[in-house]
Formats: sequence, C-alpha cells, structure tokens
Amino acid sequence: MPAEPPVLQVADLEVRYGRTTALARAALTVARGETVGVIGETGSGKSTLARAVVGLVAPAAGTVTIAGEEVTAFSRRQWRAFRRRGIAQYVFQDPLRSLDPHLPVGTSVAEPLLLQGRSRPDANAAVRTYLERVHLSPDLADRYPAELSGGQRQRVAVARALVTDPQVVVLDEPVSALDAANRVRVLEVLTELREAGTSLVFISHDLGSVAGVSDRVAVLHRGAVVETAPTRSIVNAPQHPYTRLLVGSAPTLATGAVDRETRAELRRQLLTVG
Amino acid sequence: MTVLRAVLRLPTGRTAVSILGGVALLAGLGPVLAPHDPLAGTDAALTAPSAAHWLGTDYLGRDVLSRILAGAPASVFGAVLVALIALVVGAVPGLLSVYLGRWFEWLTLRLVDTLIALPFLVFAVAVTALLGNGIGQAMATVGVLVSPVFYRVARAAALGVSRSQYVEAAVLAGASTGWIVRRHVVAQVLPPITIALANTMAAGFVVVASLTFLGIGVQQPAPTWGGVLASDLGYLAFRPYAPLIPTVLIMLTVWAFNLLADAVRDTEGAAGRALQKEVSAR
Amino acid sequence: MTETVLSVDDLHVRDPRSGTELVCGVSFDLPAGGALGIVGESGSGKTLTCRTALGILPAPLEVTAGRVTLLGRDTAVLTEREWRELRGRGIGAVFQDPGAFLNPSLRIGSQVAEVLRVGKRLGRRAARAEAVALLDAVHLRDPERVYRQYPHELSGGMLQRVVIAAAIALDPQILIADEATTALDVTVQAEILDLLADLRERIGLALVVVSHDLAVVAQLCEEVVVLRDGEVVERGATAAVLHEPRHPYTRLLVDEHNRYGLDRYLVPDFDDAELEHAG
Repeated sequence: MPAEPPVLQVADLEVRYGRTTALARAALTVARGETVGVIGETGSGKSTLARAVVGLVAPAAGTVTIAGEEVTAFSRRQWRAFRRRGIAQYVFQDPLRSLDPHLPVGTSVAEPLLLQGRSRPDANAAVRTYLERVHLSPDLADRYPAELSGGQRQRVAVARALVTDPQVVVLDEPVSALDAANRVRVLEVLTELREAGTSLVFISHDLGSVAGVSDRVAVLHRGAVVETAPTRSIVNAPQHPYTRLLVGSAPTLATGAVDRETRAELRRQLLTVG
Repeated sequence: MTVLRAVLRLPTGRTAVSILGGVALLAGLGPVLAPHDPLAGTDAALTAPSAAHWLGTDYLGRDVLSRILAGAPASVFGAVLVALIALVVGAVPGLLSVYLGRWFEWLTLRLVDTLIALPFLVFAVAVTALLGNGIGQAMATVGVLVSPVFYRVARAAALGVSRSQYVEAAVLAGASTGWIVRRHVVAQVLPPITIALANTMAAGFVVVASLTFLGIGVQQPAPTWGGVLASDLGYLAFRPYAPLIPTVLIMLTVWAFNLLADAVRDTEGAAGRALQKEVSAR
Repeated sequence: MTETVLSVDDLHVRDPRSGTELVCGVSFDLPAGGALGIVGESGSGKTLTCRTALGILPAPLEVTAGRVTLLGRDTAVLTEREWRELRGRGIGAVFQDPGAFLNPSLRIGSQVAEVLRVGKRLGRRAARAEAVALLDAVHLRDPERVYRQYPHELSGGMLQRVVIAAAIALDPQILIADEATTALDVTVQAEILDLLADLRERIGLALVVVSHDLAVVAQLCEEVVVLRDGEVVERGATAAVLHEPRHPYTRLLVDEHNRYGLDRYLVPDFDDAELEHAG
C-alpha cells in the first residue's frame, strides 16, 4: 500500500534562544489521521517545538514539512499565504488570553475565514456550524469571552481552529486549565475530531491528560525526543529511563502501580544518564 | 458603536450626552436663533433682563443672549479643533511607533518629551503674537502641544495588543499587520482615546475661554463666551449677576465632558474588571 | 485503638456578606499517622475546611455550626495565643505556591532556622544545624548549599520541599497539603508525594492531602472524602470509592481516568512482543 505523505514531519530540528539550545535534533512524524501526544516537562522544549512547527519561532537547523510543503525557510509573506490556506491550526493553552476580549467570540471564530476572503455572511454561517460541532449553542457567537465559562471558551478556541478544515491541529495543554466536567467535554470533542480523521498534536506535561486521545506518544526531555511509541507501549513498557520515570510518576487510579523504590531508583539512574 | 451604547446605559453617560448634545445644538443653531444682531449696539446699555432682552444688554447695548448664542460656535469649534488636532498629531504616530521600527519610535518619543515640557497657554499666546490673531492658529498650536496624551494612550494600547496572545492567534491565521491594527488594536485603543478626547475637549474649552477672555485669538467685537465674560467683569457694579451666565455655560460644558470621560471609563471598567476577576480566580 | 488527631464534625461555614453557605456539613476523622484525602475542585469548600482546621479562616467568613477537634481540643474555645502554640507544633500546612510563603530577600536556611528559633527557642548554631538536618530530611541534595541559597535560585519542587521542611520543623502530628503539587511537573509531583509518604512512615506524620485529582489522593491515602459545592458527596476507603463510586460526580472523575487517562492502557500482562518502537 503506497504510503500517504505524513501531514507533519519534523526532522533534525534545532532551536536556540541566544546561547541556550531549547531543542536539539528533534524529530517527529504525524501520519494522516493520526493523533500524537508530545509529552514534556518544564524545560523539555515542548512549547518550543509547538511554536517552531507553526512558524512562531525560526529554527537554527532542521526542517519542518506540513502536508508535503517545506515551511522551514518561509519568509513572512510566504507564511502569511500558507497560513491563510488554513492547513495547520493552533489552539493555545489559555483561551482567556487567546481570544480578543473586545470582540464577540463569533467574530474571533470567523477571523480565519475572513482572512481567506470569505464574505461575512458566509463566514458567520460557518461559525454557527462549527460552534455546534463543538457542542456549543450558535447563539453564543454574540457573547464576549469573559461571559463564557472556561470550558466554553476552550471549545470556542477549538472551533476557531476547525473553521478552515485543517489537516492538522496543534493543541497546547488543551485541558490543563479546566475543571473535571469541562475537561471531559473538551476531550469528547477532541475524540470526535480524531474519529473524523483530523490529525491532532497534543503538547502536554501530563501524559495522563492526553493518553486517552493519543495514538502515539513522543517524549521530550531536555530538548530531545527520547522515545516515541504507541501509547499502549509507552504506558506498559517504557524503555528510556526518563519515560519510565514519567510513566511511573503519573498518578493513576491503580494505587501503587509503580512503587516509591522504583521511582527513586529511576531518578538515580537519570542523574547519571543526564 | 458598542461603546456609545454602553455609555448611554449609564445615567452619567446619558446626562453628559444630553448636555453636550445641547451645546452642539447651540453651536450649530446659535447664530440663527439669536433674536437680535449680536453686533448691533443700542442706547439701552447695561439693562437688566427683560422681555425684549432675556439676559439684558451689555455696556454697548448689545443683546447678551444673542451674543451668547452667536459666540457658541467659536468656543465649541475651538475646543473641537484642539481635540481633533491633538488626536491626529498624537494618536497616529503613537500607533505607528509600535510598528515602524526603532528609529521612528525613538524620534517620536523625543518629540513628545519636548512637547510636554512646553507650557501650552503661554505658547499659544506667543504663537498668536507671531502668526496674528485667529482662533484657528491658536487652537492648532494648543492641539499640537496637547497631543502627547494621545501619543501615549495610542502607543500603550498598541503595545499591549501587539504582545497579546490573541494577536499571535491572528498572525497564525494569516493576518497582516494592517489587519491586526484595524481589527484588534483599534478595539483596544478606542475606549482610552475616547476618554482622552473628552478630557481634551474639556481642556480645549477652557483654553478657548481663557484666550478669548484675554482678548487673544478673536478680533473684537466678535462674540465669544470668554469675551462676554471679560466684558461682564468690567461692569460688575452694574450687572453683578452677568458673569454667571457665560461662566455657568462654560462650567456646564466642561463638567459634561468630564462626566462623559468618566462614563466611558466606567463602561470599560466593568468589562475590564469582570475579566480581571476571571483571571485571578484561577 | 489509634487516637483521632483531627476531627471535623458537621462543619458549616458561611459568608455573611452574601449569606451563602460555603461549607455545608463536612465531617471526617483523621487517625494518628493516618492519611486522608480530600478531593474537590475550586469552590468545593476544601480549602476553607483546611483553613478552619488551622484557625486561619479569613474574615468575614464565620463558622456557623459544627465542631473541629484538634488533638483532643475543641478549636472553638482556643484563644489566639493557644492557636499560635498549636500551629506548627500540632498541625502544619503547605499550600500550592511555595514561593508565596518564602521571603525572596532572605536566604532559605535562615527562614527555616527562624521557625526553629522562635518555635523551639533554639540558639543560632543549634537552629542552623537542625535546619540543615531538616533540609536533608526532605531529600534536598546538598542541604548545606541550599541553606545558603535564595528562593529564586531553586526550582518549584525544591521550594516545595523547603516549605515542607519548615512545616514539619516543630514536629507537628498533622500536615495538611492543600494542592501542594498542583503547580508542579508530573515527575516532581511524584517526588513530593513520595516524600510525604516517606515522612509518614518515618515520623508518623498524619496527612490530609487535598487535591482536585482523585489519582493523586489515591496514591497516598487510605480514606477519601469527595467534596462538591461545600458538601461531602462520597466518602470511604480509597479502594472502595475508586472501585465502586456511588455519586455521579465521583463517577465522572473515575470515568475520566479510565477513559482518557493512563488507566485506560494499564494491562496486567503486557506482551513485550507487541512492541513497535522508534527511538
């Protein structure tokens, strides 16, 4: 079966902030319709990776290819044109900050479509459709972000990312700021997206929050991808010491799944591995 | 404009808008409504209010009411001119300073610093002495001197927006700088600019009154509220209540502008405070 | 029979300004050396309950009913001076943001030592020695070095350890950890939780672990109480509550882990041959 080109391919990516190397030789491949969780803690480079993929930060080396097009060396104009095509979209962590507080949410959701040149009535109709897709009443389009709950805001942000029918959506900590009920609602929406064939890339520090919606997991540690595997394998048979510590540290309902001694031992190991 | 709607919802806003509406009407229709020729002197000088002259006559026998009505446009026009010039000269560079790079930013900031150092009333008098009488010149000068406020407000708003995440989100959707300014910066800038505008018009009003009071900027015998006040003070012994009329009018207008500024701040404040509460509850 | 070190009985806390009841009849018992988990989100009343147990309920909130018995004493009748004796020596607490509890201008060591000098009337040298010992007890590597550092030089996890050290400095019998690990990375969170479990074993510290995450509580606590909108909606032995949650809210929390969390993938016998790995 001829392989379809991956919707996202990152190879040998290096990003530097001044003298610090935030990301070194990072590699990631996301196939069509696949969902990948990129897990990393503070300082792992996961946010840098997410921003580099969508062009918010320029890499020092390596390549980023989205839907077959190499975007690494794009000029600002090329990025503008590419972004208006709406192939790759991004959902920020905090919708309170990523939605313009002075504009009704419907206007924010319509923005990508208006940038594509669609007429206002066209765009507004699409907004209503996509608000429904994320299980929000279309009447909320006239409300301001401050008037909605955290979960509703996050779903609005997701709707904005969907209006251009993207092939891949990058989500930065999509549920970490929400309470349980809202988390479940957003995760349900994301599950539906997966089923519809959109590729998703989750950036998170917590494996537990995105494990259930990821086909594969890539683990970032100190700027490098230390392990990539299907979720089931990562959870049950992690190979790299850091992954083992990560999986062993994640709170699960299975009490005492990995005990303290093992964790302590893994930490000691990591200090030598570095 | 949602800001206007929000302002009208507040009682202070409604009061301010009605008063200012009345003043604008006066400015527009004043001269037409004047029952007598404001320049025509009569023999009945310094008379008390009567049926023929509702506010009495001044020292040359001219109808005070007509002078007030005829003088309205000068004062209002002067105040509006100050505000508009300040707005254009200040806000546009302020916005641009965020996007046009380091040099432009440096240049405009230094110009603004210089302007702030100059005392505008004195300067206005000096300019009028140089350029000759004419309310236009004097007001334009004052406008330029007061523009730093608009520069700062516009720049602060644009800076705040340019660093925000929702602008990043717009960039990711393919927005150009022009788009971002039109759709996001303007929304942020409008409320504080409106407040600054209201305050500047109030100040401009006082400036016009002060200059015309001093006899600067307007050739006698053209009527102005400041001028009327000045001549009234000259004949205080005969008509002690006279200064009240132009004074009350000036005060009322200035008060209405300040009220409007407060109302705009309150509408922005409520939405802003709601947002603050949300963010801090995390 | 182990004594009960902390007993909360039908606690009701009200905000007189709005008239709303923020804590509506919360009860639980903490045995000596035991570990109790309180699961709840913001607005559930979990923090107010803890603050009442510490005697630091912010004015104007008031206790309208119920009783808190701390180490055998009814807290309602305690004077401010008696509270000061009790806090730190009987019961200690750590909260979510360790940075907020440390003076950024003072070195770490002096702040921990200060607790010892005031609380145990130790001289400077003795306090220093004991402070270093405490920093070691909370598993800070190179405690001598940390003693000399300033708060901004330490990571979140290290700061939290310092705060725990200060909280146990006067040998309290109870430690309340209110969302103590929420702001930390997962591996760091596990370190802190492991530390708490270790302290419990070594010095018999009784723990009250408050978290919005059921799984965090499951790691450490034998008993769990679930709070929602000021009320206890479920209580019991952790294993029982996790296995058979009765209240819909608890079920939501359990389901979330089972559907979206790691629990979905935890298989008892995983076949290594199935692995397809990269990197």
